[in-house]
Amino acid sequence: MTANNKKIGSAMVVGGGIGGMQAALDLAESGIKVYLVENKPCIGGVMSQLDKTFPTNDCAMCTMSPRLVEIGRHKDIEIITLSDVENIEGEPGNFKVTLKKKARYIDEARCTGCSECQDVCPIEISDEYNMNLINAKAVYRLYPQAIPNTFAIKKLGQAPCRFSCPIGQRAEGYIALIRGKRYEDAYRTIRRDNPFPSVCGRVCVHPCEKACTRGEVDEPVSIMRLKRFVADWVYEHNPDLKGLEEEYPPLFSEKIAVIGSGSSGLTCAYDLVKRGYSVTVFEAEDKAGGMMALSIPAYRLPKDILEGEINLIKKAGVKLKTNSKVTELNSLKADFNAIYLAIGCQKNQSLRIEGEDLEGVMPGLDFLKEVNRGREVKLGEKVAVIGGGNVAMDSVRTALRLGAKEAFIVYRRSRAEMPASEEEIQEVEEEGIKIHFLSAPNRIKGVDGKVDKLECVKMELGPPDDTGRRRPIRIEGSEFTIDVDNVIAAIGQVPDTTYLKDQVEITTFGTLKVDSETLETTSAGIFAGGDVVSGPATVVEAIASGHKAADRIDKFLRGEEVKEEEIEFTKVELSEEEIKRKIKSKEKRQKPKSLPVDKRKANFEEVHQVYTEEEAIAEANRCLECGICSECLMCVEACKAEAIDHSMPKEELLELDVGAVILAPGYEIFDANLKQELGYDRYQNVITALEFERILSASGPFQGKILRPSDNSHPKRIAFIQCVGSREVDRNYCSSVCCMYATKEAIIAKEHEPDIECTIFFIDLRAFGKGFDAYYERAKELGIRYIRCRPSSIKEVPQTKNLKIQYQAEDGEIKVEEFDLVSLSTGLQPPKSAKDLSEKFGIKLNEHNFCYTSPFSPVSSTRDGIYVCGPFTEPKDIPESVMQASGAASKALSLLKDVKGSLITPKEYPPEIDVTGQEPRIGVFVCHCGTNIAAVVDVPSVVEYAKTLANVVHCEDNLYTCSADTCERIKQMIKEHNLNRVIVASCTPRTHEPLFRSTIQEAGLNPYLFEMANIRDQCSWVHMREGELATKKSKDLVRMAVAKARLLEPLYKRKVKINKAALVIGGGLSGMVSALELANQEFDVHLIEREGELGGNLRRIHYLFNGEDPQKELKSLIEKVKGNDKIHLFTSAKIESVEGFFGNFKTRLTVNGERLTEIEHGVIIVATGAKEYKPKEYLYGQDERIITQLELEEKLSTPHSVFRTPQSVVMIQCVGSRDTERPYCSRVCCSEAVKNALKIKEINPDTNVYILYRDIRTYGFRESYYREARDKGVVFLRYEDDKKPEVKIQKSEERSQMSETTEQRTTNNEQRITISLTDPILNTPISIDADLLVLSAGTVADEDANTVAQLLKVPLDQDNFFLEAHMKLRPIDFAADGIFLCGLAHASKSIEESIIQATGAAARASTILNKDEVELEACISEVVDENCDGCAYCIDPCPYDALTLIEYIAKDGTIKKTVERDEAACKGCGVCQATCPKKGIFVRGFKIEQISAQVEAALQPVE
Amino acid sequence: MIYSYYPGCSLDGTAKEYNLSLKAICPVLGIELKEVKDWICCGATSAHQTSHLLSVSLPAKSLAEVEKEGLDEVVVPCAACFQRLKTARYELENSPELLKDVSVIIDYPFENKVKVLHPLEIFSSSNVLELAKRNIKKDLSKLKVVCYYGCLLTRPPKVMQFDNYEYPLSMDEILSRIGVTVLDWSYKTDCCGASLALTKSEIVLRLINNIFENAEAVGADAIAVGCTLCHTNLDTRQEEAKKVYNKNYNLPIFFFTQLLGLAFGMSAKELSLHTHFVSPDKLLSKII
Repeated sequence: MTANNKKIGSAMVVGGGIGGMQAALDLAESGIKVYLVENKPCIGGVMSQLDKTFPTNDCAMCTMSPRLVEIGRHKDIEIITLSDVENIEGEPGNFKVTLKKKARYIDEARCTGCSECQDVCPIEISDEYNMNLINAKAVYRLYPQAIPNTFAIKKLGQAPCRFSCPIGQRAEGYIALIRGKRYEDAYRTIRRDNPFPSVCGRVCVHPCEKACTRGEVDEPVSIMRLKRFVADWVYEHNPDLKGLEEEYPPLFSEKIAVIGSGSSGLTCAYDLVKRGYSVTVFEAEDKAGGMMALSIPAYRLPKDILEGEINLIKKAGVKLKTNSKVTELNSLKADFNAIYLAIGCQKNQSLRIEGEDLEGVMPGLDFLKEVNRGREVKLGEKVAVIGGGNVAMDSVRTALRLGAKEAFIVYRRSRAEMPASEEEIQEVEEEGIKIHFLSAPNRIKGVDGKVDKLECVKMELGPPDDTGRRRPIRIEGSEFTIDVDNVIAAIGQVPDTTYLKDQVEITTFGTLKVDSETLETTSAGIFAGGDVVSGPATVVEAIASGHKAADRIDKFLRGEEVKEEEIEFTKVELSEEEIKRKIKSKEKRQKPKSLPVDKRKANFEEVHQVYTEEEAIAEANRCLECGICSECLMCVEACKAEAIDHSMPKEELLELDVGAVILAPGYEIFDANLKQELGYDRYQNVITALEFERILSASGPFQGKILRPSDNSHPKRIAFIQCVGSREVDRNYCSSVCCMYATKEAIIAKEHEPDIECTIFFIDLRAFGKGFDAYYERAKELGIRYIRCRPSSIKEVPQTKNLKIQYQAEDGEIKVEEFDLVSLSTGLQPPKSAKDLSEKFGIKLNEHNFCYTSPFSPVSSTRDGIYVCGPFTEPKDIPESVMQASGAASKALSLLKDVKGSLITPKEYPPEIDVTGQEPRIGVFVCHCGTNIAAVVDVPSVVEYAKTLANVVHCEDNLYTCSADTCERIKQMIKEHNLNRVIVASCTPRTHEPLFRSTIQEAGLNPYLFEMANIRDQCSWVHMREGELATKKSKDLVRMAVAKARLLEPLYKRKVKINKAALVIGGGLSGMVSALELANQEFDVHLIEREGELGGNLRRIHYLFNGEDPQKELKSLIEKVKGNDKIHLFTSAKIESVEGFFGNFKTRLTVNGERLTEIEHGVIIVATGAKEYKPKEYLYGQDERIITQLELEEKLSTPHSVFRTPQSVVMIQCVGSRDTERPYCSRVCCSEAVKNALKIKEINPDTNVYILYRDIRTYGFRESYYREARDKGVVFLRYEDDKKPEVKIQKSEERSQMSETTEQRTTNNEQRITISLTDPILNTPISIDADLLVLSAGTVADEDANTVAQLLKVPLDQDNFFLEAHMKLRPIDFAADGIFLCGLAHASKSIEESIIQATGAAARASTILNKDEVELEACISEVVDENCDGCAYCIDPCPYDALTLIEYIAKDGTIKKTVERDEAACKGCGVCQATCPKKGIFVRGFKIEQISAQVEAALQPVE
Repeated sequence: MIYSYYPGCSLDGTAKEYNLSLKAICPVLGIELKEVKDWICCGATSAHQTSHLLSVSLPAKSLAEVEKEGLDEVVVPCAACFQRLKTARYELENSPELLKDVSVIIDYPFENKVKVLHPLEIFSSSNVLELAKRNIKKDLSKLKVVCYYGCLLTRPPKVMQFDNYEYPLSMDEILSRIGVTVLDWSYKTDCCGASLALTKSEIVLRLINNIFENAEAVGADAIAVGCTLCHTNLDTRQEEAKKVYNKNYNLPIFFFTQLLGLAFGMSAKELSLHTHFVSPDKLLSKII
């Protein structure tokens, strides 16, 4: 192999659900480095959302949570969240995968999962994990047990309001805070970007509102007025801004002069003071505020408001000098290190018409300034204001207020082109001010030097000019005159910079020339910004320039380079549908109260009032929260661990080299909206099954109370509708799990509240898995009603929101029934990513758009090196996914067999410190857990208390004891104080003990010299309102931990060498597949078959649905097995005995009855198979025309068989299954019958085929063949369990056609077989004559199963199939380590399923065989021989069969009875210790002395 | 836009107001209707009960007339006609032999090119909706209606290809676009009893009573329909249903075209509102 295509010892698993997790674990445990890629922020998949699991009713989360933790901690599994595969290149063994990782905005390494960010986040979004039944925050963790246990922030980008604002005001944020009535927080959020909240809350031109998405629904959110509400509220309730504004002490010696105290100058000054500079602002006028103070009239911006905000800036430390006009900059340079020129535009543009010098003509800005300075301005009765901008509007309204009888506007374009803001124009109109549109002044006529008349000319609009507005063109001869006393010209301002012309460069427009990036003028150290650079602009633009200037001046003084490093803003653009979904309030835009028009004249009272609190909240509720996260930065302030980083790039690409890929992307739940007749989304009380799971869950939206969404009442009548999105033309497959989950949900609902009536509407009840039928029967016993009918629609009763369902009852009657809640059993669909994955990976999908696999390679995609598992390949249940995941792992292990172990990281610890004989020196670390503990428990007092305890030599508190830096500190303290015992008082050992154990081990201590006190779950959480008592209890717990710690001893894990060979019992399909898989991984395999020939049941299967020939496959499989020199085959062999435990078994065999030597091996795979039931019913054996399905298959595949061309065939299902003797479903018979029926139809389409069934259980893709059979005319007749068909053989008058064409006539051929049954739909007896009666005989356990079980000491279930360790998560394992299970020995299953489990078994075995040695648990039991008298009380209770009673001859010659403990089997549960009356057995680490010391400490009185 | 127009018999009789109102609003929406010359009966229920060939040939004859006129789209307001014409087209499309036979019967080399459209389909195009919105003269926002599509417009889905067959929305969308308050309800596509009105009226009464009950319970003042038979059953049998079921509702039944006309400012007379059995006068005087 060349260097370029060298194989890589790592694999990528895509999808972190239960399948992906299993594959990752199997690979990592076998020495392959794993990248586990998940597109959500944590792993766990859909299983994490389930309440319980069928058929055991185990809690889903409790079952999977330890596995989550195991993966989270695995040193060779790297979890990569929020990521999708972008691209893949390369070849099997050496792929290059590119991932696109979305930003989490939270540093996973720093986040401790304390949840304080979540508490302060103001943005509520619907909680996807809880199926949108309740709300979550924009900073979220899907569920508390999530791995990685860190938060993430949901952010789509920047909301249009923020995006369009020159200063990027976080409007969405302060609006959300208003909703939460957190006005001071809202104020801080505003002020973060804007030192003039109250000014901008009144006079901003608010480009945000133009951009606001709500505007597309009705009207934009009143963003500006909400800002004013916040500012006014804070100034009223907290006038001193306690806790909101402070003085900033100087950090640097540099001084800065700012010239001009307008919005730009003051913003710059304020920012620089906050950054630690001394800043002096020079203002030429006697009042600070620039245009804000002088140009904006008081009825829009009251003077005290502005002064208040300027005072805050002064309070922060800005020095302000008014009446200080600066004309000479050089002298300033001596005292200041930098100068910022923000002198604005102070000069009015002239009208340039005749008569402008007449008395009574005034420039607009001068006019406003005079009024604002409080000087008297005399006006006549009629005042004309020229212009269409805000100064014109302000001037005309001011004129009106000064007593002008008539004030009006003359504007040369039309209303649409007016530059003034729309509100201003509206208010002008409201106040009765006339606007002469399309009129331009031509000249001003005077009498006696005073204004008398204004001559105007009419205009029309031409094509647009360079401002984009249509250019006005004079209409010659249209002159007209108006009588006026005053003319105010408000047509614009320009900078007044002539006095600076020798000091800095000035442009032809009179503005100052600056570098657009640094804002530096042509003179070093002198900066400029605001209107004097840009020309007249808005307050908010000036503030933006001030911010930028402060930043550039800071960089200039610090010698830093100016880089465009600002966060790239991405504007959020929502689709119409998203907008619809986001509307929370239908209210229209709130209008604040304002002064009536008649009260506005002759005074300068503020026109608009502030919103009332009620109005503000109503308005805030209109916000759509476009960006989700608003970047209000509340979380950043709250995060003590400094883990939050909003500036992370939105996406990044990661490139990884991996040897193999396993795709486990899971599935999508069918969108119930597509079934509109069922009213999902329209009727509140129609929910989907997964929503119901969340409702049932104790961690769900209602804490496990069953409430219905419309009114949170307890539903009494619940209906379940099956097959929603399954078994239909468009989705021609069965989702396999719905019948069972609905049954489970109904059972659990009844467990919660026994008076709930549950009704399940179904087509066929598909309880085909292990133990499922018994579960179904139990459900019926519990009173759950099953109605075989698929309702066509659901109707809502509007008054009660109850739901009416019409259905046909068993007796044919049409009924209408009312329910309180309906749960739709929505099916499984291919994952959304399926098409994408198929394209990126170049793998084929099947006709249903699931991943294509073939029956004989069910874990491989169509591309080598890419393996697949879980519902991505077919809808399936958890155990099937887990098996397939192990199978996929096995394939990857074979591919990468040569490079296993090459990329895993060995964990090495320093040599252990010997602590024997040392006096205990205990260190106690008490955790704040952010405020999780510290907000309730008085942590410092716990520390002080711990210090008083004997042997405690060091005690300290930590913000987060689990953070990486604190763990380092613990190690340091161990060294510094020679600690030999460590206690952490924090959270739960369930999640954190291994971390701390490993930490002290890194410092050289034995990991078992560690103890934990759970003062979070057991103190601060459960006693959150009783801080004092919680503190006391924390002290108690710490004292107990110390008492135990004193007695802790080092413990060691024994290591066992692994024999790297496997024993596979059974040479059928499963056994052979397992053996070959292991052999391919280079392990020696001993394959044992009791018969002389390999192949087992597969020898009897002759064709598959897809036309494949299994016999060809079988032949090739046998050849491979026989030809593989790693496989040691023993046929006609029998096991005599098995000894030893995992890693080191010894098995004795006989072959052909002869004894053989022992085989030594490390693992065992049980693949002993099962067999077809030999029917006792339906006259089987009495007539050769009555046969089983397998016999039929044999005959159909025999050329020229007489059985190939019958005229009429009847098949009876459930023969030997689902009865009292064998209560289970045999899973495969329905498909087998359909397969054979199709074969018969293929041979002769005219043959009548009748299938008599109870439920057709063609799960998964088999459903499409069921449909095909119906289409081809196969007749399906249902019979009831208690009315089984009857078979008679009667003399026939006629000969059957078959016998005529047959030479080999049977003796019975003149007799006909008659099958009679009652059709439950017609409720009529039917009888059918058949040439052939085929019995679908079930699968029964092998008669040798019991012997094998006893030899291996593994359990069987009630039906004599082998019992796996856990129905859901450990379907291949036995509870005993090192022994695995596959094929029919486990339960009836198809060829494909057997191969999956057999391949999986190899991977499970491989996790042991790949290791040279295995560590055994250290905390296991230990027998104290001198105390043990062999009473054997402990033996039966031991759940792991780890104890045996033995006898030996003692030194004194007597026979001593004692107990021996199997160290590999013992799990340290402690049951033995609890039963022993003699202290003859104990569990290490939980010695009676240690526990007693704890108990005594607990009882010890504390002062 | 010029469409061929097939009114069918009921638009000349029981559903005259449908005809009038449709013709009144079409010009406003930029639509010109050109009545099919020599159109004949669609066959409705009786033909397909008697002879399959007849049930296809009758509509084919009328569609052939459209072809002759050189138009390729025909508007059919009556749901029964619409269904028959569409079914004929569908069947002929899928069977060349049938097309051959029918061509012989109608004595015309029929090409089966004409697209059969319901007014709801034309009106829900974005251009027409835009025009409708622009022509609103009266505020109908106080009028609360439920849209009733009945069974024929959408079924069988394979043939009709109409909107969303289980939960159609076109009428809802058109009416809400002209400002009517449209309410959601559960009986959009339920059966009104159709022609059983003549033979088994008690069934019709039961079915329409369900419809009225739900419409009233969701808060509707009136029901909007797009099918002549639905209109007849709901309008003419309402009094009877009230008596039998001891109910007190009073729900005017509008053709959706009448509501468009109202929004466009047309008079009650122009829209023939006075020919309804359940008079809408009181309701309209309250809300307009």
